[in-house]
Amino acid sequence: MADATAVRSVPAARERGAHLEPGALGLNALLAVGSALMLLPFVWMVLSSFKTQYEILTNPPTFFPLEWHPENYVTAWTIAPFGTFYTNSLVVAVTTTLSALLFGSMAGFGFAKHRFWGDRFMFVCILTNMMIPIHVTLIPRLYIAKEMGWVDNLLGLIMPELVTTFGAFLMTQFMQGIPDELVDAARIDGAGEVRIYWQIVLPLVRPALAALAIFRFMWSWNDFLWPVIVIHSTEHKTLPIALAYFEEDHRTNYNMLMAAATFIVLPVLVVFFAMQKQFVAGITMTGLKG
Amino acid sequence: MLSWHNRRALAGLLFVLPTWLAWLFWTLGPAVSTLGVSLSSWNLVQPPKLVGLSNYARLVGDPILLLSLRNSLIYSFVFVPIGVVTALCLAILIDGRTRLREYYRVAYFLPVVTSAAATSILWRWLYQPSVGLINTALGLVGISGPSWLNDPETALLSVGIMGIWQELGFLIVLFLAGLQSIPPSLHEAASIDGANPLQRVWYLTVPLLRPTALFVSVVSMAGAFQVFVQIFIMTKGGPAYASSVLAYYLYVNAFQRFEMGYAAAIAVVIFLLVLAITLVQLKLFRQAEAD
Repeated sequence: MADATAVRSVPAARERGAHLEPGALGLNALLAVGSALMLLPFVWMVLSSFKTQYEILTNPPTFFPLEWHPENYVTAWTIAPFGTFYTNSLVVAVTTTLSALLFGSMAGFGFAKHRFWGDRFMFVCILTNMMIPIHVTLIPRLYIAKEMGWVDNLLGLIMPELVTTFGAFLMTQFMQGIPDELVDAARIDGAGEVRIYWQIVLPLVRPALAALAIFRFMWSWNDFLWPVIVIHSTEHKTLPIALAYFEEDHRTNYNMLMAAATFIVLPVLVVFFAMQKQFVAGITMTGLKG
Repeated sequence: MLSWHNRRALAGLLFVLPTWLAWLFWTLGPAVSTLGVSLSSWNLVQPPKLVGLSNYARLVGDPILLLSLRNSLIYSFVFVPIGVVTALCLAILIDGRTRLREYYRVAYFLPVVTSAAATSILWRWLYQPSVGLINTALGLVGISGPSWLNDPETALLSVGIMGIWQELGFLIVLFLAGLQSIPPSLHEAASIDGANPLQRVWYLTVPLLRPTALFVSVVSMAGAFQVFVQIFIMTKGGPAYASSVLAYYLYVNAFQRFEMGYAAAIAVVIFLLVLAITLVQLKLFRQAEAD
């Protein structure tokens, strides 16, 4: 696993003289209550998912389930083909993550360690991308997808997302931190550019690759707007849009809905807990969420 | 035969080219085409008909569009600043702690990584007027809560509260990074000079965080114009378009009514708003640097 201490701009949380004296119990309590409020919806989601349909609509509601019904998860999983949705989400997320790593690191190497005609201009182009809201490109993108025959299949989700300008930006930022002398020394030793990229530069930016991978995966896993436009048939739906349609069919079966929501959220939470340092590093490097 | 210098430059170009071409094909091309589409009447199937500026004329006379614009502006200029200020306060508090820092960061950050589709369904359940968690909790302290998403008066507010909950951790992480860059020696010097904690926060931390605050505000205010999932799932823009925003109204026109020309005109409006916010940011940044 990439070592987070290698991430430059994020020094490990340092012990320092607290600005606010430790006596400020009230402030501590405020933070604690705030964090409880942040987490409460998730607790409620999980608790609700174990209740019966009858209990869930009882007024006043119970907090803990009177009886725990883990079989709600099995029911939710089988009344809609969630296995298929999971596979679709995984295929799209893994493909776009791998290609973002490849193309992002290539572009980063190009921008950070080469001077060529138009390099500044191309970099500015890529920066402007972050200013152009997705809504401005949706209609022509759908037209392109339609002409290419990518509507209502997973290619429609994969092709526009193979390359991310965010990845290029993040990798450029990191690779600028690699000393030029290192790259030049390899060149003098006769190493080709591809070999320098693959054998020298890539191993040095592993933390950045990890950050980019998590972002890309999370972004793809949670993406909603484009999939809801491009995908229509059940067998090609990804989890978030499948959940939205599941919700329309089962509007008051909150126990089923909460069970389904839980198994969509779970993989990302696991990844987040395992790699939250890289996550935070990625955000602070770019100020963006991917 | 290319010289080594030119070969290296060519290699750089080739490394960058896939990304740049993809940007040309999936972003610049479509963005420029949208401008063209906004001057036409088009249902995506038949060839488009040029109609000049009539889509833009229609914007001005469409009450639902004006309502959506108003809601987008409220979201961006009221809800987002509330979120930013809350995040700033929380970040200052969290930064002062050292022991529970990690726990707080995770707790506040959790909603950021979870699917907005899942959290929207979750919040619709929390907002449920009779047996939802929020009104039950309010009932315990003797307040009879509103109908939240079902009431035109509170629908947009409900979406905004949920939005702040979802984004707060992202803002806190950015502020915490900004706080890290303030040298501790400044605080020590100030306390030797007799400044109390509150004075140190107000006269030292807050001014030094201005660049971060500016950046954070602009990113989230621009981002606010793209809020979509929450509205799609929780309210469908209702009741009676009370919670519709530009991004949602664009979706309805483009992908439910197939009025691509009109939807493209809405897209141009969104673009201009985001552009304006970004330009104001650049100006403020230059000013801050000049100071």
